Amino acid sequence: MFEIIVFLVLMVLGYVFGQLAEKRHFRSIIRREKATLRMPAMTLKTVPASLNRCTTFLVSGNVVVSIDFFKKFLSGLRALIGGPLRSYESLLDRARREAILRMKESAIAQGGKIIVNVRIETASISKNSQNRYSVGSVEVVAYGTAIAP
Amino acid sequence: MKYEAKVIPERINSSKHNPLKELLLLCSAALGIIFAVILLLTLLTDYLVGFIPPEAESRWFDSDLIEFESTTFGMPEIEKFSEGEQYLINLVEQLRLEQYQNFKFTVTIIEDQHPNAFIVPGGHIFITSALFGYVDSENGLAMVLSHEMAHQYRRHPLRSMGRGVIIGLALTVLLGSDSSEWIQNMFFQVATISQLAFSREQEREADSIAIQSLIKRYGHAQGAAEFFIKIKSLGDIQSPLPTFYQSHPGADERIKFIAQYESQLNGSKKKLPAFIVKINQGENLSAN
Repeated sequence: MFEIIVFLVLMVLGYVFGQLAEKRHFRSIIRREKATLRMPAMTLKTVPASLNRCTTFLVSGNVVVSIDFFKKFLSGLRALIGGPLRSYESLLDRARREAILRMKESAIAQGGKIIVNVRIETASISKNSQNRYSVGSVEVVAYGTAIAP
Repeated sequence: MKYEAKVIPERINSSKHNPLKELLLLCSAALGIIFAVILLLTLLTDYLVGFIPPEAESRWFDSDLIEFESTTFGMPEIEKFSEGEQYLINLVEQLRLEQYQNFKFTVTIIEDQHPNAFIVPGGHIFITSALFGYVDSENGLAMVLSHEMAHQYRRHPLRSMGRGVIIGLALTVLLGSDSSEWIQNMFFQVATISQLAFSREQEREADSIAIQSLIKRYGHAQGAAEFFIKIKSLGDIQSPLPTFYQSHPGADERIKFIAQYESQLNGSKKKLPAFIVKINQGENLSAN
């Protein structure tokens, strides 16, 4: 009985705060993406010839986002039946966009104008997510070559 | 090459969905499956138990095993109760219904301050010393005994054990080690709750058969509700948990059920022998 109460409390807390945090994060992402829209970040492997005489340097953006209890439980149920893990999609979307934004912001701060050869890496932190009290989190790092005139 | 700044369109990489709706859907699907599996396995166990003759059951779960069990429960048998146990065994024989002659029973009194009686596979009945303080007549005690015997007539201990093993196994296989502990926990809770529903049904069935045994032995059902009335008056059984979370029906329900038989036939109750009454008063335990 006690376990059920703990479970329900964790579910409600996870849902309420998880949803609030996600909505707020998305609002922030959309606002900042618009603000950095003029800064190209692309996956070109080489520096365009016209920019051959510019300075280049490495920029990176790094973010760690935790899943909430609600999402974790939902994904566990989904794993029994199969199908798209929608509860994690928004999590990864947030993490990747945030990492790119941070990379761009870092490039802007250092006077960069363009980022080329952008790469994104994802890693999951806290491997032992089988443990009932551990909630997994995802780390995303975005890096690229910034070009400054 | 020309660079054009474009706003990222929303809801492509994270599809729109209602998480609560998804939770509801997934939960009902999972629970539906688990209920179906449990129902199926219960029917299967019940079917299989029918093939095990009571004699084979007594052979598998003989007294050696019981000695082991009682020590694991931390309730050692006490030789001093042998007189009481002999009396109870005689009572068992008097209460036995004719069609169940092939069932073997043993009775063991265990020292414990909580009034309780239970039966384990093999027909081994255990009664705690405190229970004797909760019945005023032989009829009240006979109700407790024949209730446990009725469980055995219907093979409830073996069925429950079989169900527990098979359902536990099935859940472990079904869930594997991949799923999170909370999910496993949820499924086991559901399994427990449905097991408890079976358990309550078995208790009602046992009560009903026990009443028949009492009427056959004494010609009436007077005193059958003694134990439940006493327990209710002492408030021991009033669990704060809702009915679906209990292994037994509420005392009120059982008293009410027994009352309809008590009122049908009249008769006098038999007194308990002095050495039985003493068991609860602790005189036999003074050596401890």
